[in-house]
Amino acid sequence: MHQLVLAASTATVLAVWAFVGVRILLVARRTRGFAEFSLGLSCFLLGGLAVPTSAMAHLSVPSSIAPAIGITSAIVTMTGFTLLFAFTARAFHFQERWAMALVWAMALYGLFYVIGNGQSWLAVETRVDSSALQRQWAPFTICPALVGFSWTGLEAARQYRMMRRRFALGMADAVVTNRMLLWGLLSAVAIGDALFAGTFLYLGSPLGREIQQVITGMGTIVASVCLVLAFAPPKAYLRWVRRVGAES
Amino acid sequence: MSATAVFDNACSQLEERTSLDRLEARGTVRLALKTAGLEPGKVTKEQMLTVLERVLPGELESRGIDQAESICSTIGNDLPDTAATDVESPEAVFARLGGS
Repeated sequence: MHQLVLAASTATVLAVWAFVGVRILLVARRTRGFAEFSLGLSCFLLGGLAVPTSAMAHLSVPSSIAPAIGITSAIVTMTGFTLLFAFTARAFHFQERWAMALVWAMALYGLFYVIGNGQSWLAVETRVDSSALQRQWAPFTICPALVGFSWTGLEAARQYRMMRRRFALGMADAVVTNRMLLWGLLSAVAIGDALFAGTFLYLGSPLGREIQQVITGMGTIVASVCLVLAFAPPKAYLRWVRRVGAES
Repeated sequence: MSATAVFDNACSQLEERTSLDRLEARGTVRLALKTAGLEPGKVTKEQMLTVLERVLPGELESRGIDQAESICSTIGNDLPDTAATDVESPEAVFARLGGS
């Protein structure tokens, strides 16, 4: 059962996040907006490339290309997180220095991660080594996920609270208000997934790891649904949001 | 005129036209903006007009200010236009992200 959920959630992440990421990038090409560019590329890298490159790196051990794929995966992941920070800074705190400082801090963290993780990959000779490497470096991958999604989630929650009040007075759009809510929900789920993954990472029991995989897999599916409804919603969903908004 | 100036102007006018002192006037307008989901440093003239029409009169009446609607209407008539700004709101960013 848990393998089914894991497979379904992995396939969902790859397809949905890559699709939505590209869709937002196409919006960015039209609007020339940095917020759209950073969010679209972040979704594509984190959801569409980070997972498969990480898996490919592990599966390609002990071939000589395994370290190259592993380092590529590290670059993809840290670039994705840095772009998530950049999106949050641009969308919620445009031209505020402290927000830009956080983005630069994440970029620096990512650089050190890639260097350290890359050096570890160069020493990998067996799949036991690569499994140990992934466990060793997992906390350093979970950390930017927790910080990044906490920051963007809190900003979205704050904005949503204000937008609800503006909407009641006719000063906000129902769909955009709903989009802010969905981004906040997605972030909350991502935080939960990161916490679960971190909590169960070092539990020795196979049952504990299976529970973690099922829960985070289901969380990933929920987050993917939020992503689609927020940035690539079906027309029927938009009609429903507008109808509910008009009735409230 | 900047968004902050819209807030400052509304507060100054409220202080002049009522018995509220400077702190009370600014606090009342700030509370009205918060109720409307707005921030003093980012409110536009159009948003302030809505607050003056639909939120601030209630706040003033609760403070015993007579003719609250008339006072708010007068303040709105004398509000300066908001200058265009490069700072985009999160709402504007999220509006574009849907592809519209």
